[in-house]
Amino acid sequence: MSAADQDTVDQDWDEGNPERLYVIARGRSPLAAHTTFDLVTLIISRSQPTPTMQPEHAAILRICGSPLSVAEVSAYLRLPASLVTVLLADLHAEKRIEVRAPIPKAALPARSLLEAVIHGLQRL
Amino acid sequence: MDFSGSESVPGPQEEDLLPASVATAVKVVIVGGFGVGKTTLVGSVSEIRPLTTEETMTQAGAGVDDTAGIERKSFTTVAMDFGRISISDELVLYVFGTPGQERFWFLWNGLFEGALGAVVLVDTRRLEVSFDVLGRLEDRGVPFVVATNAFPGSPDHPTEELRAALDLPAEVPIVRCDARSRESSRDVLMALMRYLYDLSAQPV
Amino acid sequence: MLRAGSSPGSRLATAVLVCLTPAVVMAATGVLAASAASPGTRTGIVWCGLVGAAGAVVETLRRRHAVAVVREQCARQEQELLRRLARQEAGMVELARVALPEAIARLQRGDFPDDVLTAFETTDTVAGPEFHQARLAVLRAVLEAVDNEEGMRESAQRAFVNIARRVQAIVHRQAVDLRAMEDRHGTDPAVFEDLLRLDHGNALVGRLADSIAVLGGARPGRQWNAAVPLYSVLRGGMSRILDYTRVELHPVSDVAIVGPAVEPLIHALAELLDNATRYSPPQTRVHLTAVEVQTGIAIEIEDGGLSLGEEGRARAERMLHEAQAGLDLNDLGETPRLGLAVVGRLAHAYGFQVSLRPSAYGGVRAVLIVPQHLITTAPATGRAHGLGGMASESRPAPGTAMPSTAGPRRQGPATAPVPAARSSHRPLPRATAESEPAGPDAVPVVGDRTPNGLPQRRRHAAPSRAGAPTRAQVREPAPEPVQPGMWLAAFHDGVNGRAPSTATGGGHTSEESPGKGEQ
Repeated sequence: MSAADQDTVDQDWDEGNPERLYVIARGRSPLAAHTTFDLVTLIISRSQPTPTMQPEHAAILRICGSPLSVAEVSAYLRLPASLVTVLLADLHAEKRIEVRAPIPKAALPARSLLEAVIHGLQRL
Repeated sequence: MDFSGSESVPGPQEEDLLPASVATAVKVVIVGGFGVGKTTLVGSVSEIRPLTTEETMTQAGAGVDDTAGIERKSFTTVAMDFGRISISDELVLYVFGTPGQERFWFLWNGLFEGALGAVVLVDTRRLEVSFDVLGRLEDRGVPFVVATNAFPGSPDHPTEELRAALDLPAEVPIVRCDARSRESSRDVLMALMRYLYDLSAQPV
Repeated sequence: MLRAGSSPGSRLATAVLVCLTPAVVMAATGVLAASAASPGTRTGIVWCGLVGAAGAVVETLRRRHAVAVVREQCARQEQELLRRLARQEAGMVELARVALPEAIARLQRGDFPDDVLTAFETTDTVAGPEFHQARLAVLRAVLEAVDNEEGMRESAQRAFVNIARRVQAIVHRQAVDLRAMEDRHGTDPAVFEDLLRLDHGNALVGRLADSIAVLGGARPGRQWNAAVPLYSVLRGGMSRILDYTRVELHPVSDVAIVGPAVEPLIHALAELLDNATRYSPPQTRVHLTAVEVQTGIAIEIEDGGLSLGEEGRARAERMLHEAQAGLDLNDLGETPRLGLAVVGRLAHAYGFQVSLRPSAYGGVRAVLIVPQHLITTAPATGRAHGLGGMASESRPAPGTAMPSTAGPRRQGPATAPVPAARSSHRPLPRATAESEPAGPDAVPVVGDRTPNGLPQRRRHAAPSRAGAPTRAQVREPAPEPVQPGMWLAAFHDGVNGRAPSTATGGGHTSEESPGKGEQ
């Protein structure tokens, strides 16, 4: 009868968000997307967000007007990189974004690349 | 019927935009123990305000009753922060700072894949903190340079003394830096690039 | 006083008979005496007989009057008794039909038995003091029995709620921790995926505990102190069901639900969504939409399951309404009943209108109407729906100097009563300090030192991308795994009076390795 009154005292108020990340990922595995995206894979929007889109997708399309790395998208959206790659994979499959892969993994960098970097750093 | 909510996600500011012509991104990693100056170094060289990809907070007993009898396990805040340097119209360099302690090595997943190399930032007052990191990088075969951050009052050991203590081969560069200085921090990255350049010249 | 079977008519005849008998007897005696006596005395005898007979008649008349008086008294008394009887009958009926139900109702509303008893005392003196006492005794006995029962039911409810609260506390902490871990391991897709699965399972446990708490008469477990966008509320509901991937969330209007209604709405929606996904074929979608209606927001959940017949619909809606009655332990056993009972409770407590109708998709269309006063127009500062999360609150929006202008609504430092213990750590702009907590970092113990006093490291083997043993493997030999059955063996030993460390004690089977006993 009065149980509800008794526990008003020790209840903590919730901050944050009632949604959990798996709902945002809609149950898809981040493992598949992982092969396509590195932290420094560059993302560029190729279409405008639409009103019926999942808000996270819309946000990615909106902020990637100029190239952004996956790490930056993750930081702006405040979502873990693995979740961001799931969302990016959706957009990539729908050809809504362009994906610019970093240099091939597990290979020594080309001398020309290193020269370019050294040159660039010198101008800093 | 719209998602104006997504508008509240702040995107990059106007001056932080990369040109659309950028085709390739490369990354280097700055590793070091707590308080050794990684974030400072990243902030010094980055053209954007450093961002973080992960961060957690501790919510120690925020009004939570203890009837459940469960010890509140608080999570240490882990920040893997990163900055960006535009090298050219086609090339951009990302600099990631990550904790070097063994208990944070899980953060290295995905971070070192494809990285050009690493900078091990050490504090000469606590040299031993970096031992695990150096061993780990050697194990992973990641090329690295060592940078000693000049803290006020930190002992100024001769380079060869440090090399002996760190048991590093002669070819691994050891450089001094002031992580607060843009030029000094840039020179650390330059040292890494020159070292990588030299390595690429060697017959495989 | 009255003999059964004697009618008033026969009583009168008997009375007349009795009255006249002395006169008749007197006359007869006179006649007999006169005929037997001498003529000299005969006259005297006749006179005596006449006088006697006359006296008898007078006496008879007097008695007849007395009888009439008595008869009148009897009739009055009879009337009195009949009236009392009627009052007692009425009193009994009143007790059964009015007093007891009302008294029990008042008791159930929380009145004390003594107060209720006083209120139901009557001043009616006609029914008699004994009846009055007996009536009160009955009332008292029933009230005490009901009060007792209520007390037991209440303590059972409290026990349920108490346990549910403890489970909720654990689940909530787990949820916070899991979210933190999801951030920590955000770059490791395999770990991240596993964490999502745990997170989901945790949310399901939480909903069950929430349901028990609600049925036990308590509020739902969590509270939200600020309005939450409707879209987030809907996804919050989805996050608490098993088959959330089948739910198709359609765009909704940009409104928010006021804080106090957020948790009950999420919970009610989760139960309705759970029903919808559970009782429709697994390959079908469940559609979740929300439209603005005159009275508020109508949230619709349509599934493609079997259509609900009129009978089934009526039964389900009855369940929704009966749910307000209280904790029925039967509800806890059956899933649809549990869910509907919870929805019914929450709807009653928060003014949601819930109806179930056949759906155009062939299944059931559940409509939950959130009343206007629980809805607020999302302010311009409203944050993106799922973007960010609990763990990101301590982080300022990158690239924005003022979190209050572009920052999420619920994260504004002015509005959110952030617990003092919460880390205020933020990544700092350029060149100040490390953003990591400079907590006590265990400095490894170094054995060797260089001649200059510097700690001495030993180089690792030449770089090779594969095959080289990691340092962790070298330094940390895996601890001997504790055999799961061990404690049981020790327990057995203890029960049988054997020292736990001796595996060689009598009665042990030969398979038992000696090492086991030492662990």
